[in-house]
Amino acid sequence: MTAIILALAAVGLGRMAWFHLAVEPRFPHPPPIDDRYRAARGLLPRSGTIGYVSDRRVARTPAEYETSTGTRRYIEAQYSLAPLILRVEDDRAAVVLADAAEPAALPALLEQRKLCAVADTGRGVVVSRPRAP
Amino acid sequence: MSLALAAAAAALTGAGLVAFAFPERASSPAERWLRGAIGVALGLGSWSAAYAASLLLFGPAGRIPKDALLAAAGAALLLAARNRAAGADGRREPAPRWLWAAFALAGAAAAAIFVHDTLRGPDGGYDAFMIWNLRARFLARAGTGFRAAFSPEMEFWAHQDYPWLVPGLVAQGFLLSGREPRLVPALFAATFAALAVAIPALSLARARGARWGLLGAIALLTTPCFVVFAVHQESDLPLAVYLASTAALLLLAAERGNAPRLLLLAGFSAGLGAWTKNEGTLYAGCFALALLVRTRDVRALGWFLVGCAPAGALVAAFKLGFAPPTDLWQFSTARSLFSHATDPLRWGRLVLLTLRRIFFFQDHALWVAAELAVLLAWVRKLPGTVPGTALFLACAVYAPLYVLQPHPLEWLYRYSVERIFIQLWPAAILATLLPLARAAAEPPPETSSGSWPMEPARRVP
Repeated sequence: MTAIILALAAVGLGRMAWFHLAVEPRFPHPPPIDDRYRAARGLLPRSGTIGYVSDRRVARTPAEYETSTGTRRYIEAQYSLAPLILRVEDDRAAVVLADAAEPAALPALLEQRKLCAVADTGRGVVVSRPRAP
Repeated sequence: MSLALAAAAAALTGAGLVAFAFPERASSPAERWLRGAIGVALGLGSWSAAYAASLLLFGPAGRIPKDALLAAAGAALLLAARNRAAGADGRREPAPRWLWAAFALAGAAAAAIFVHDTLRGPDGGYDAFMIWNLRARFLARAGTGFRAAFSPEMEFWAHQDYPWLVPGLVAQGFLLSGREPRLVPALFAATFAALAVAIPALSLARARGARWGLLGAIALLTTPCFVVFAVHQESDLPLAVYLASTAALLLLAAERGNAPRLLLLAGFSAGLGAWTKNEGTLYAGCFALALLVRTRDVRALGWFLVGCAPAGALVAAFKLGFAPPTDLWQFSTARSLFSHATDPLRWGRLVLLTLRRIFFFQDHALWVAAELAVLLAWVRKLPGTVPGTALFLACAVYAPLYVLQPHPLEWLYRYSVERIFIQLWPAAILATLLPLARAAAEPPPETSSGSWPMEPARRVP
């Protein structure tokens, strides 16, 4: 029995070594999440609720997850800016965070949502407000 | 000062609870270490659950008085237990050096991977920043506005309804440090990973000698997804710790003729599991049912349920008073439940997905296949135990849950089944290796009826 368990352990250890030593280093480190939103955090209210729009779709149900490439970015923004609550697709809130995966898409995003930029904090993140009617 | 008080609160509560539950002093080094590991797990869990209760009842101002109260209660329990009698001499079978070397190698590899991957991704895994550390940030940053952490205005990805034992620990760590160092969630993750190894391994060592303890530890450490879950700072390993602790305490209680205090502590541990993740409530129910089925002892069940009550009340109060409905209810309708239940293709797909996962080498290597082989070949012929029955019940309940839930089956299965596996795996190692070790040590009687005799229960006065 001991020999069987140790043989299984050797297989498991081999798999772990191969993945963590050989495969994982091929992929770049994910950057710290807070870096992207640090500047915006200083400009936004500390708590309460603001709007959140993106050039990528944010999944509202699990069925939409696979086709909604903006979901992770929203989750990261919410994590970074807590306890501020980000309301997805609310472009009529007094303050709206526009968060574009492609910075070049920001002008079109603001235009489409009828928002005007208050501060561009870089990396595709803009603090905005609705245009006056 | 507040850091020392917090440390005293967690340490004294854990030590006090364990001292209260065991009527005699530890009989061997393995049992002493086992009690210590269970004490650390229960101390941390009590500290977090008490934080949650004080926050919900009194707001952030209750945090430090709560620590003082916990420390005093823990000290009182320790004082009350100071004149315990010495325990009967325990098992002290040493393990060969080469097995210690194999354990050291597996432990060093897991520790190195943990440090390396934590440095690579200091925000933890996807669920850490989506749910657990997000909740901790809300609790630590929002002050009196902490209810924002459960706001339904956030997308459901934040899973505002999840219990928050781990976020409660991390949030208190942030508040004590005055900043939000990424070391805090990483340290709690490492602690729970160590406990997940220690509790089943020390239970095995105590009951069957150091060789079996080391084999149990090696099995867990070399399961490829184990260290990944630790690195990801999620709540699955903490839940695994409370599950293993419940199993270990129930086995100890059974040895002592279902000693009420050990059953209370087992229930308390199961309750803390329910305050760690929603699945913990299911596991507490499975343990309760298994206890009743295997012992036919309603009083034993009663003690276990009384032990569950403190954390169970916290879960109920949170769910009824603060949390939005869980997504499984939110997205379900009577029609979806009926159509899923009567869809043979959905049941068939679940069977196929499960069969494929048994051989999912990336996460399990060959451990799951080996576990199933052992269960089918040996363990099913042995008398059932409470932990084994509870784990079997939990696995059985997941089948209808997967089929009836409202989300795409493949999607949910892919993102959840490994979590369920790692929640159950440390307790499963304990429940499997314990009878296996006995079977390896003792030849079956010639007149066997298919069941091997149980050890006689040792009653402690």
